[in-house]
Amino acid sequence: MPEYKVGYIDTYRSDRNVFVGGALVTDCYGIPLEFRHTDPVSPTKMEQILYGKALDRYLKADTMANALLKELSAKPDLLVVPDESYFTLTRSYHYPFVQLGVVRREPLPKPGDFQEVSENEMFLQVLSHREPVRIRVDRKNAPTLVSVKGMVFELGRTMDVIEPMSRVADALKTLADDSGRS
Amino acid sequence: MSPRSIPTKEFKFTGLPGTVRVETMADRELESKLVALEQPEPAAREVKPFLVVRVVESKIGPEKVTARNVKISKMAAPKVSRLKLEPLKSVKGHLFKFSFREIGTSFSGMMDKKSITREMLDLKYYPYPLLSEIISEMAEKNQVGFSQVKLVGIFDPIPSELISSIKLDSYSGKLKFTLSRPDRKKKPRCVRMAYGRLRTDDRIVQIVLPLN
Repeated sequence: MPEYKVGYIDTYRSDRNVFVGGALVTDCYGIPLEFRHTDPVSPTKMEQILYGKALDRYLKADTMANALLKELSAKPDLLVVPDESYFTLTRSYHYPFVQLGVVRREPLPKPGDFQEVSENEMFLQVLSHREPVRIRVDRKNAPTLVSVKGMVFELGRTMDVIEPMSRVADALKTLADDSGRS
Repeated sequence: MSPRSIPTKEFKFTGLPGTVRVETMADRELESKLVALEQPEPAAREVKPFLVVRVVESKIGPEKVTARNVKISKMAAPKVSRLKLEPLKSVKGHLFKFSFREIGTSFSGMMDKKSITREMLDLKYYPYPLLSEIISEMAEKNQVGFSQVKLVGIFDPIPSELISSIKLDSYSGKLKFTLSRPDRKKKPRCVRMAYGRLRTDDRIVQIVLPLN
């Protein structure tokens, strides 16, 4: 089995409007290889007005994610993103961006079975006796879905492919809360 | 006296169907009085004379208005003066600097200390014969009866050979553990772990299951 590196990226926005972004790269067992986070950012009132509804997406994807992914020394083979706003960056990087989630439904008959939902989304049964995993890629990168499916299946035999995202979220919350106190 | 319903007495005769209405003499007198009251009395009439109409003569007539000639003099021509216009000064523009155009990033080792979590499998998708087999194995391994074992949860996938510390939180249903770095030459095996609690001494027991 090839030793894949998996990346996880997320942004946290605190109650005090402090944004912190973070990127974690793990090996195929979920052991951290590298974790980078941005400096806390507090948009001013003027910036909130000027950006309006685009502020969230601009900070998350265009600014923070770009800064983090450029600085990562351990380049991942697959990047797991929390939502589709990050898909705009897929053209700039040479690894697939994928959205993963648990599907609350009956398991598929056996591990390896999959159900196509659309050209860029499918359900994959990774292990027996548990819910399938939802795999979603950018519509423009739909042809990569097959190779992504293979990677997720291999990774799912040695790690919980969704669990590291919760670690990133907890770490960012701690960073944002600490910066708010100081 | 307000009109009201005439009181009647109702008697029920045995042997006859329904009821019979009986009116007394006092009822008939009361009825005649009520009928008399209902008839309206004639309204009173009175004739009153109207006020006398008189012709009013106006003694005061309109007064004559006197007219006077007012002399209008020619208006003086308005004075025109030239306004000196100063050339417009160049307007100074300010560039608004966004604070997040360039965001710095830092490396952090905080993830190395964070434990990895596994949530319990949803047992509704686990066939009962397999669950029964797991409980039997736990009971046999700990030399207790089948009913003495309570299944806590099943977790996967776990690289058991890499675990350095492990903790089960049976209340939240989570298994937390830390892993040591794997040896590149050796590929660790991943397993499914089942945890149970012995009813005899409240001890937590575990067994290792194959992944599929």
